[in-house]
Amino acid sequence: MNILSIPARNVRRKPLRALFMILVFALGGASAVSLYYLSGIVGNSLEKKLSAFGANILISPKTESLSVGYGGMRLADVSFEVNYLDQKAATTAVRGIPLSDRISAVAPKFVLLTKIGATPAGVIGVDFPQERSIKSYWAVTGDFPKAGNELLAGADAAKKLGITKGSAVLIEGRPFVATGILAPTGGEDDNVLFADIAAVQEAAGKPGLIHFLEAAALCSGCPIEDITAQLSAALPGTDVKAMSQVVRQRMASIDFVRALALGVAGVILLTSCVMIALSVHAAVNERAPEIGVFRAVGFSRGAVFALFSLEAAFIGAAAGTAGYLAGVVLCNQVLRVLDLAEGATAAPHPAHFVLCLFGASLLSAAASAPAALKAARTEPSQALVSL
Amino acid sequence: MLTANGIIKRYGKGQSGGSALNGVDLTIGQGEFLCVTGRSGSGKSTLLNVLSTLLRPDSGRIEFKGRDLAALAEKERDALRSSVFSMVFQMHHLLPYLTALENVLTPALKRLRPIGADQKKRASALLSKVGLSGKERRLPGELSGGERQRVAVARALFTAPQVLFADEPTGSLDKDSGASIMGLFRALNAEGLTVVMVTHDPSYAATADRRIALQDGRIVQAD
Repeated sequence: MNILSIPARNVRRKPLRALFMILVFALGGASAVSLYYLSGIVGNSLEKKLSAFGANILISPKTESLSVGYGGMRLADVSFEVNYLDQKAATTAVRGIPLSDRISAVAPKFVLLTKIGATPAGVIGVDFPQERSIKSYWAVTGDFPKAGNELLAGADAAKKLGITKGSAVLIEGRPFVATGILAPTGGEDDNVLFADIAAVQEAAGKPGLIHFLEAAALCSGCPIEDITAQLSAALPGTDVKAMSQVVRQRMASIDFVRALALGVAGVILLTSCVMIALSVHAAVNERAPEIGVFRAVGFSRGAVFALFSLEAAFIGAAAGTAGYLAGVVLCNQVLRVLDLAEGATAAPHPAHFVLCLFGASLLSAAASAPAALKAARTEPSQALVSL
Repeated sequence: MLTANGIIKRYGKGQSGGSALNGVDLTIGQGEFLCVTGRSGSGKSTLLNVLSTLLRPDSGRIEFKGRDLAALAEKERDALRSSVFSMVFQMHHLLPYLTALENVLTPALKRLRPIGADQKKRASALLSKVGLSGKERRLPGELSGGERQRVAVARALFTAPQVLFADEPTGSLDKDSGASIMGLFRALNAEGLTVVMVTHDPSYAATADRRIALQDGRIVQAD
């Protein structure tokens, strides 16, 4: 036995009261934990969904070019030197940066300006699986290309070039078959043809080379500047441009979800703390004679303060344990019932559990501090009179 | 051993206040059994609280072995109450969630250091001394009123005090239990323990070595 025995025994003496306090605080803890996990999982899911609407990082070789335009009409880019990137080396470098887990897609591009019949046309060589992961909004009449000799035509390009599903198209003397027509996107994709990147590189006589790379980065919890810095270091001789507006919008969405969740959890925890404070305050009044006895047998004010704080800390520890476990279960139930994150679940994390346990103990002890201070300041003679 | 000079203790503030002790002078010798009597509100309990350091006097000097208790810091007063002074109250004030043995050990529960086997042995011996051998594991609710007060006496003796202050220790007991407690006090006093006891009961007061009577915060009779 030691000083811990007194609060521990007192908690056991009034199990219903202790249970009520644990329940109240656990409710706050469970809300905070579930909202924290929910905001993280839903935020990441939301970010992945947002990332499907386009890339946010552009990697291209450094070129000395001059944009020429006048009166709002863009005429051309005057390039003094055309540089290429090595496709394999560039994609490997992008996938090898320390923050590579934040890169959700790497889409290399090879641009070929050619003539289909007598009509000038642009053919973009793409890696279709990667391209589709950053352009989930693509809708196609027909099928996406699967083989190297298949192509996809943008809506306007198909009209101008008279391409329909199944049309044979000659590109630089190589036969291609149009397997699908892209629904209008309202963007540049409408005016070009898309084909397998290796086939287009072969047709242009530039195997393994690309003009630029587009990447989709998940920037939750990391600034885009860190990713671009790492990419620049990994790919010397390239320009790495972050489309910061897109990124900021995405991050703002995630931050809003997180801030909302933290705000709600904070309010619930604050309410729980107030209830703990009131409960301990009532206990101090009720146990005034006991305080008098403790002081009469030589307990210092600090020891009396410790008694009530420890009791609140015990309750906080129990509530923290129950709240953490309940929070994880609650989070998974909400994710399952509302289908918010496409099958993603929250798994208990030992470090989070320890943090929750000690956090709840400290918070509970802090909430009870004013009442414990009142107990410590009680004059023993007055406390004994209240007997 | 314990000397009080010109002790004044007021309660309340301003005109609505009054004096609980109004210039008390008192000397208590080592090994003495002193009874303090008087009507309700005469200042008996306040005097006991002031002498035992539970309450600070507004003015006056209390000396214990040459030290002025009124001038001691809070920590030193706490230390005195956990070593040389002990108290028994009218109500037993046992902690209902601790057994008889654990209640006796209460003064030792103020630290993180676990209670040792020797302390448990001492507590058990004290319970035997007050006639409660075999009832160590009983909770207060499982003991009679007299037995609870005996546990309270054992708790007061745990720190081997030099002075035992008792504030109407028989006040809530039946005649037999009260007589038994008084017998216990006499026996402890015979072993050399100084006892200062407040009582209403003249028959118990008659058994003391010396008696003082208080009225309106003043000693009006001493023998």
